[in-house]
Amino acid sequence: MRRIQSRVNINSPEYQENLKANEARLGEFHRRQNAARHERPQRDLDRLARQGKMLPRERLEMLLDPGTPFLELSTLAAGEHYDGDSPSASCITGIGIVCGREVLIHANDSTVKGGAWYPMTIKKIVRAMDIAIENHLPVIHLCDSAGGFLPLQSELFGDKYFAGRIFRNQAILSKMGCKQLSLVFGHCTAGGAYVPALSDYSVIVRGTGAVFLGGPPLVKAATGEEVTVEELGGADMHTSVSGTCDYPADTEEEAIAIGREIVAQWSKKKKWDAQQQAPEAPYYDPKELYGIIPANIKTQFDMMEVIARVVDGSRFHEYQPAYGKTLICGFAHIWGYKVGIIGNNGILFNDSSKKASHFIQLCNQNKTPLVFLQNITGYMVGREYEREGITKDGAKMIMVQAGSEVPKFTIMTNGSYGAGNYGMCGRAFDSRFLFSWPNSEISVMGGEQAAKTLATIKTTQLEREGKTLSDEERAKIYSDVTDDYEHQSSAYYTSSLIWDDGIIDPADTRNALGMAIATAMNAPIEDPRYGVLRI
Amino acid sequence: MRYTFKIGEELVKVAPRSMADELILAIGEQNCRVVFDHGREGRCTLTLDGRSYESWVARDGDDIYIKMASHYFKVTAVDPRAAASGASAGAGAISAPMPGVVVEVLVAEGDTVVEGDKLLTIESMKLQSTVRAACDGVVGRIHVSEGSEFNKDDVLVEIESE
Amino acid sequence: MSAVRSFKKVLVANRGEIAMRILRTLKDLGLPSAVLYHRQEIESPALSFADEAFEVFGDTPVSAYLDIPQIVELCKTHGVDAVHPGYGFLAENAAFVRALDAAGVCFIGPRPEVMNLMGDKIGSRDFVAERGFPIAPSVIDDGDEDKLIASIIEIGFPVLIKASAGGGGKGMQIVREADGLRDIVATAKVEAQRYFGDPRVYAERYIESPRHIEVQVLGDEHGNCVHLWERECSIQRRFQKVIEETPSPALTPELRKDICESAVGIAKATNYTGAGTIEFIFAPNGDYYFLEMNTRIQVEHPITEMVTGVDLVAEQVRIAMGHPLSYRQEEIKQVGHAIECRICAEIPDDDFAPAAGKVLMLRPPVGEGMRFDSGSYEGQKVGTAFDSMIAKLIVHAEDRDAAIARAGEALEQFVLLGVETNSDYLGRLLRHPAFIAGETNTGFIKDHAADLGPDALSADLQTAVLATAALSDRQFVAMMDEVPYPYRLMKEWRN
Repeated sequence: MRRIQSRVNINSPEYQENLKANEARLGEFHRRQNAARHERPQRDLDRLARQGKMLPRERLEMLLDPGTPFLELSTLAAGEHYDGDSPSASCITGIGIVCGREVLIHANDSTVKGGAWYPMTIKKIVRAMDIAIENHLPVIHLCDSAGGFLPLQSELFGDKYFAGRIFRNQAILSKMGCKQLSLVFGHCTAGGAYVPALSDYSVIVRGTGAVFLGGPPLVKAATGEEVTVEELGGADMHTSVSGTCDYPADTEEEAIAIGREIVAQWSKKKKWDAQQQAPEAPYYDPKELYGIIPANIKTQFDMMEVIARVVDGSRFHEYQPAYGKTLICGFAHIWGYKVGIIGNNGILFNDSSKKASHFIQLCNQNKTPLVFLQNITGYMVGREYEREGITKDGAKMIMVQAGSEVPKFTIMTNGSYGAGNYGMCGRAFDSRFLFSWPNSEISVMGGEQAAKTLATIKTTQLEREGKTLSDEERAKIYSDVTDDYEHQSSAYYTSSLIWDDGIIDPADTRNALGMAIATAMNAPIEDPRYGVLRI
Repeated sequence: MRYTFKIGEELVKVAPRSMADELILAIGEQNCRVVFDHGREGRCTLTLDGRSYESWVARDGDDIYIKMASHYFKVTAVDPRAAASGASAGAGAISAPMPGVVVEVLVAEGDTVVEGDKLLTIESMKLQSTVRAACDGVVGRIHVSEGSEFNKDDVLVEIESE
Repeated sequence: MSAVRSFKKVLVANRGEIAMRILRTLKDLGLPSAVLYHRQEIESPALSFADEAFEVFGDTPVSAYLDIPQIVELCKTHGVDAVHPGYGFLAENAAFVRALDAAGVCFIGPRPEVMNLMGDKIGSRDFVAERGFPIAPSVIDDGDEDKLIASIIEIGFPVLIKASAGGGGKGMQIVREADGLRDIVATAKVEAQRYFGDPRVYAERYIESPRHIEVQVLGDEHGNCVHLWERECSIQRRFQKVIEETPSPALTPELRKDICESAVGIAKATNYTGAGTIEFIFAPNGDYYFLEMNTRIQVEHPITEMVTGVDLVAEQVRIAMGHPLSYRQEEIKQVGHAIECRICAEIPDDDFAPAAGKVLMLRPPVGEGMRFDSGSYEGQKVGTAFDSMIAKLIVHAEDRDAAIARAGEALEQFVLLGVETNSDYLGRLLRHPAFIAGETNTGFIKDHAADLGPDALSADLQTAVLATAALSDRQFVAMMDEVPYPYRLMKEWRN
């Protein structure tokens, strides 16, 4: 496979300008990520220390095999919501290696309001468990949660994808034969009690761990019965009387050691026999992406340069290099795994759409996973293109992409607007994993264009109500709308809403994809089958 | 999870940091580049941060015996669960696991026992079994004598920890 | 004088390294051999090395090897006509010799009368003193305690008090002043009774910083008696020898001649037959006193063999067969220097407490001038059933410095894993400047205790040991091996 010949000049002014902009962006990203992961009020940390509890991340590190990677998901979930009261949506999810087995880990973060579940917490947990279902992963729950965050109960209880979905997903996972282990470090109250109860194995720490449908205050209120935590749902009661939990542990460390021993008993399922070769680092330094990603989102850049900094050896076999050139299609390897890559190099035209449809079918037939590198303003509009059937061609691309059986992975590298988001496997299209770069934006149409439209609507409305607007007032409306729109299109906002599986440093793309692809190979790939194509 | 090894009276945690093209081990607070060759018949060669160490190694269960640089060492791999667990469950009453009859009382009140010592032989459902001390301590009250019948959960013996 | 006879089957009534040592010579001499074993030692290499092996039974393993009727019965049943007792166990037991005599089995060693004479501390001293050989001023307990106390005070302090019937270090103590002497004597008598069944005690002038020098002798039935030079065995702990060497760095040629001739004189006076050792206390001023005679092959005999080239066990067997000595005195030369290090299962840094365990790996040193006498084997369980000595490492070189260097090399090469031994400690002794200077005495280990502690080990070495241990530990390696690709290549990546 030929090596991509990079045309990037790292000494060029554009490169340097981009580098400066992206370093600032990365600084902001790492600051936010670090805050979401580690910055907590001292009183919460003190409370944990008093209880003799480890920090959630200490538990996680102890659980994982040393010397192995951990792909953390949605660190900035809920980052732009609840006034920042639920950093990382009060939980940690991710994929790691325990006793040589890939597992999905879900850990309550008891440093935030006792690990209470906010609506976004539930969305993040449900998404994590969907990942387990889609990729046939075992799950380890590190339980330490006060239960649902009551002030927001209407946003987390009752709907299809609300709290109940966690338990539904647990049941489905179990039915699929995916193992689940709960390590109960703290309280599992109400719905939370079902997490260990629905797990195949559970370990509970004496003194701090407890499982019950209603805690002592609720029991007192409901029936007048006075009962201690230990009697009601302590480690010894559940492991020797009720059988709700399986193993008592004296300390958190022991619980983790028992947990690891349990995982070591699980059969190692054979993974999908994917096309593979020995991994090779990219020839071009992935950190050069910082000089390639444009400072201004509207500036076009060559996706081939991105591919060169993600794939093994920077080697790429391009499909139809001369046809539909606004879309790059081709084969490469990521951490040794054969993948088909589809990347935007401009607007989707009829030819590029048809090229995409064809290439997606090739990959499905060959059972080659697909990687989408999104930088798309949309499908071309206008009389000529409609006459050529651009809507029909876009529909074909959506049909084969949505109908794909191979695992899909999406990276939001820059802009993602309108129907282009759909065609290029946006969130609605079941990518196994979708990651965003800090600079990326998602919206129904381009920011400036949308802001202009919105500002016009607002101004017209005000004028209709009889108000006369000064130029300054008009400018203010425009800039407010633009700010709001930009904010809501930003990766931080969309990631806060869990429209992705997390924002990643562009230089980490290869590792994130490598782990995602290796993980996805736990599920078999079915034979291709599509809906009706409007030829 | 890091593994704990005991050398002399010291407990040191060891874990791989990298298992890629080079092996890096975290030993206590130190990260070391390591190349290890098991060699033949217990003759091992270790290169640690560029320095070479020849050794003879033999293993007996969790004990690893090493002769290196003219010195002998015994290193014990501490079972992760043992390393993590606190003291064994405390003193207290030992109750009957099921109804039965006491066949023999093997200790007297005031006896010092260690965890696992035999206290009683009991018979239930035509099967004799031994009731053992769950912790180190002194035998307190013995609630039964030879021939006593008891029900499930009846207290048989009390052990007071020292 | 009896005629020369041959043996049809020689039983080694012993175990461990000395059994192997004797069997080797029996092989060399072409004599059919047999050895005893206890059930605990079923895997001992001596069993397969000997032509036959007979199991002995006893409440304890040691008691089995001490069971005279059982051993004599085995000799009769299996047609054994000679027994080599080795050292320890029944080697100096006259009753055993008589029982063998009665059964028509030849005991390879001295006659029981000589054994009895020299085996008695008091009797042997009197015997030696009467014949004009030097003994330390001493007093023998005749039951009159007041008289004993007065005599002890007359000898002068410091004084050594020990059981009259005892051997080795048991029940010995040094008294430095008259205060409390009466109590000490009373206690010593109780201990003597308890250990040896005889309450009599014996006191002698205690010589400060003495050396232990002994002389190997051989005597035959034809009245010939020769010495095979001296051995210095001053490096001792708890009155047990640790390092022995020959020649002694303390002796001038004149003194050497003198002490060796005294030894031959003593042996001749007893009409000694077989191999024996006359032990002397050697004072810093050159005076020496008879201490005792050991009527058997000694643990440290190999160093004599190394410098003289004489196979002492072969001589023992030939003498027992009625042959005259193979060597005249002037043919026995002391060539070069030999050192023996006793490898013991013990913890020197914990006051030489005995160590137990399983021998997991045993690699004897191999090289010119190196000899390794051992009955150990991989898989051997070392416990407290027998003596803590598990092997002897013997070296020979042209001079003392070279021998010390070679002993260091041999210790370096030697590997015994699974049981703690004094091997490190022996290295420290050999490297000690006072030892290198030949400034040895029986208090060496105590006097230099501060310098002989464990070496301070570098943090790097400990790290290397831990790395080696971890990478040799099954669970640790299994944990690493379980990590699949491509994750092991990603190291500790975190996004």
